[in-house]
This record gives sequence, structure tokens and C-alpha cells, in this order.
Amino acid sequence: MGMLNVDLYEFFRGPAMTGTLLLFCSGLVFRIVQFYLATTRMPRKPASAGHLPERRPGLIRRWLRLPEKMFYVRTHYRNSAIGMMPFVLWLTALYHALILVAILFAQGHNVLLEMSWGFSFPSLPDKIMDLLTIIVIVVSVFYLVRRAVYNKMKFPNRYRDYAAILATLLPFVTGFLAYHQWFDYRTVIICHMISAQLMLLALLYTKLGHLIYFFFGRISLHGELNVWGGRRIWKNDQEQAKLPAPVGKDSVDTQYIRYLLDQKKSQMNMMLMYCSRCSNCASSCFLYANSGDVSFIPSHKLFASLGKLYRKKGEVSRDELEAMVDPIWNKCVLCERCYCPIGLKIPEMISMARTICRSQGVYKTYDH
Amino acid sequence: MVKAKQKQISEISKMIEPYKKVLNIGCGGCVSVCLAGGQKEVNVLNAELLQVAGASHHIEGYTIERQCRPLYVEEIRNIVEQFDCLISMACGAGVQLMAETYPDIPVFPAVNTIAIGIDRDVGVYEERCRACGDCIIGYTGGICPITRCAKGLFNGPCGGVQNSRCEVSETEPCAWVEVYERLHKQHRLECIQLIREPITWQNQVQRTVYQDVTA
Repeated sequence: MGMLNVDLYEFFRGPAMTGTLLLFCSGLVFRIVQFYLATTRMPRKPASAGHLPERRPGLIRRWLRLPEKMFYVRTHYRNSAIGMMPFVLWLTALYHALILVAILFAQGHNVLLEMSWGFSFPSLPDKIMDLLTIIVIVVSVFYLVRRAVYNKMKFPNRYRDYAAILATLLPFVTGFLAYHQWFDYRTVIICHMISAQLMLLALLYTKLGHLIYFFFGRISLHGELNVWGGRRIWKNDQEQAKLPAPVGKDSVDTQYIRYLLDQKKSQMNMMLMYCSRCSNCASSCFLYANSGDVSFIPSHKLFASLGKLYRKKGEVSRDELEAMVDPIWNKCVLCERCYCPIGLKIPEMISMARTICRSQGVYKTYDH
Repeated sequence: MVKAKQKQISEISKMIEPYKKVLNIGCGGCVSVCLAGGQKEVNVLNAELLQVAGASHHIEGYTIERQCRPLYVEEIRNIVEQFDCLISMACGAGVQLMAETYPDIPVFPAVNTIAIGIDRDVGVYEERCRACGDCIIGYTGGICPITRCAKGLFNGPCGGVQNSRCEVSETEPCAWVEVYERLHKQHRLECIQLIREPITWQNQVQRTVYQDVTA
């Protein structure tokens, strides 16, 4: 048994770790390239006839506008999810930052790095690292409990949402146990390495990728609700245009639905994959705020419409399409105020679901 | 909400006559609600236009969520490029954004934008606001003299009021009599005695709204 443990330890410390890091780096490049291929730079506002082109103010003028800018930043902050639920969202921000800090600046990790590749990051003192680990564990448990008991979070939950938190929690628990040398050190450290490698891979290839998507969604993408909004917008995967053919009252043109889904495939993939169902968009939906009914949560409306279409790859029946009228028309006015902490564009996706329904002649009519 | 009414078919067909490929674009916003330019109305108008204009025209319909939002207007760029002209069933604002976004293609309105109004019944909409930009109905018991009074008077009724009716039409009630009665009921008659000075008619020039969200 001892022999086996040594071998396993060497395996996970050596080749497995190298493989994981290689996969991680290539995956990171893949994700970045994927994002930049799926988006395009926003076209400048067309200069309409008789209008002078917009001029960018000079440096001094820009500095003089700083108080005004600060005012907008404050307004944005207050209207954002973090301004509406400061405790949970600041805790979340801290939690995500600590995950990165714990991975990069732990002394044990740096010693291994030094030994393997001859370089290392600066290390934090053990006492501080211990405290940070405890904070991450406590916050993870807080999330698990919150997800299980909080009505707002319970509704759209699936096993995957719990698994995502557990996947993050596990490396920290095992790392904590290994540091204090509780239980059998070898077994614990091997568990730590396995779980950490799995988490690193999950960071790119599962919904945990929102940690990386965050930087695209909140900084690179253009958005009214982004404080540092960039100038990139989503583009269609296929530029070819096709109009819907007329369909009967009870048939569905699944091919056309498939065409519409394929047109925005990469955007939709990312939206549905990275939504971690944190339900923080709920607080920005005035319909939810007024009614308190969980089916008004923007992410729920998204999954009840586009999520369903995506899962079935467009193979939906007429009844299923008609059932979507309730979440996307009756329960959404498309006011575009839903605020996603990681920068997913929920209204764009709901509008897409509406377009699909409209193409099949399913839409809200206002006959009384 | 904004209320609109569809134009005569003859007027629309005259506008699109020189163009062979026509895209009729509906709007899922206010004009859907007032039954003037939603997806259903797009289908109906297309059928009628095909009858009037004849088979030489190729007319298609498409409805977007809102024509006053660049995000949704941009969505159909690759479809629009296939057509010779566009018909927009949105309100005046929507038609103009459509024309601004696609400056190379003629855009024709299919509805007349009438008013900001209320729903009295199915298909019965009454104008209630003229967007003058200087609201005074706090002093007139919630009755807008600009919209409701034929002369748009600010300070009491004119001499033409007879039996609480307006001199313009015997069926129209006098707005100022209604203002008086409502304020009387609320014991706020001192409001009617305030002299309102002439306002600057802000709806005569183009305005841009900057919303300060300080709360």
C-alpha cells in the first residue's frame, strides 16, 4: 500500500500536474480565441446627414469631467446587483479573489513550483493562508446552505449547481487537512491534488468557467450596465439571412428554429453554460421585486424558453412553444434592466427566444 | 402608451409601388398593444397589400421586439439588405430609428402615430398627453387642459362654454368645468385661482431626455 501511495503521489505531482497545467493553458487560449471569434468590434454610430461627427474631448476636459464620471460610477454601482445586495455580492467578490490568491500564493504550491520549474510566486505567511482557506470554506458552506434553504435560489436548482460549489470546496478542505497533517497525510495530499486538478479543468470546461467569462462579460463586452464596458458585441455565427416560411396552426418548422439557434450558437452556448444560477439577477427585475414569484427571475425565464429550445436542439412541439409565451411575454417586458454579475446578456437571449416563437407564429396577442 | 392607427391601404401601396421586394417590419412594443402594428397586423397588412399591389411585388413580414431600441433594429441587418424598401409599422420614433440605421434603403411608415393615450375599450384609445414637457395637471385635478380643452387654455374656461359643454361640439364636455368640479370635490378650489403664465412649448423643438438616477 505504501509503495502504491508513493507512486500515486509521484504521478499526480509530476505528469498529471504537468498535463493538467498544459490542458489549462491551452484551454485558456481556446476560450479567449473562442470569445474573440464570437464577438466583433461595435460599429461606430453612423453619422447621419447634416450632423457633425462626434469629437472626443481633450485630456484636460476629460479630467474636468471626472466628478461627473464618478457620479455615473456611483449610479451604476447603486443599480448593480452589488449595490442592491451588498453583503452577498461583496462576499462573492472576496470569495472569488481568494480562490485565485490561494492557488497562486500558497507556500506549498510555490515550493513545488520552485522544485519543478525553478520559479515561484511570492508566498503569503502560513497563518494568513490558513485564515483565507477557512474563509473560503465557510463561504462555500454558506453558499451551499443558502442554495438549499433560500426560496429564491431553490427554484431553478439542479444537482450541477451543488456540484459546482462542492468541486470548489473540496480542494480547499483537503488542502487545509493536508497543511495541518490531520488524518493520513499521503492520502489527503493525493485527494488534494486530484480535486485541485479536476477543479482547474472544470474552471475552463464547465459552468465554473464563469470565473474566466467574467472578464469578457464585464470588461470586454459592450453593455449599458458595465462600468468599464468595452466596445465588443456578439456577432452571428452565420451571416446568411433566411426568412421564416409560413407555418400552419399546429405544425412547427423545426429546421428554421435550428437555423435561428445556429445563427447565435456560440453566444447562446456561453450564456447557458456560464449561468451559475446564482439568482442575483432576481433583485434587478422589477416584476420579481413586485411579485416575489420565483418564475419571474430572469435566469429562470431564460432557461424556461431558450434553455428548453437549446436542450431539444429546436425539436419542440407546438404546445411547448405556446407554453413559452408565459415566461417570455407575460412575465417579461424586456426592459433590459436585468443585471448579471458576470455580464451575461439575458435580454438579448430572451429577445432571441421571442424571435424563434414569432417565426412559428406563436406570440402574445393583445385581444382582450 | 403610444397610440397609432394604420394608414389607408391605397396610401401604403402607392408608396411602395416602385419597389419590387418589400419587407414589412412590425414592432412588438406599444403598437402591438394598440392593435396597429404587431405581428398579427403585419400578417394582415401583407395579405391586403398583396391583393392591392398584385403578384409583381414580393412582400415579406418580420416583427422585431421594439423599433425604438438600436439593439433590436440591428438584429435584422442581414435580412434587410435583401430588400428594396422597408415598411415600418412602428410609431414615428421607430420608423426614424429604422431609417437612421438603414440609410441606404427607403423606409415608409404604415401607421399614423396619433397620441399618448389610454385604453378606453378594445380598439378605443383616448389621447391624454401631448408631451408639452411642463406638466401642470397637479393643479388641475389630474385633467390636462392642453389635451382636453379645444383651445388649450391655461386659466379657466373661455366664454364658449354652455351647459358644461364645449362650443366646439355639443357632445364634448368642457375640460375646465371638469377641472372645477373635481377640485371642488377635493376642496382644492384655490388651485384654480392660481394664474398660470404662458409656458415655453417644449414640444415644438426636438428634445433629448437625460435621466438623472440619483435615488
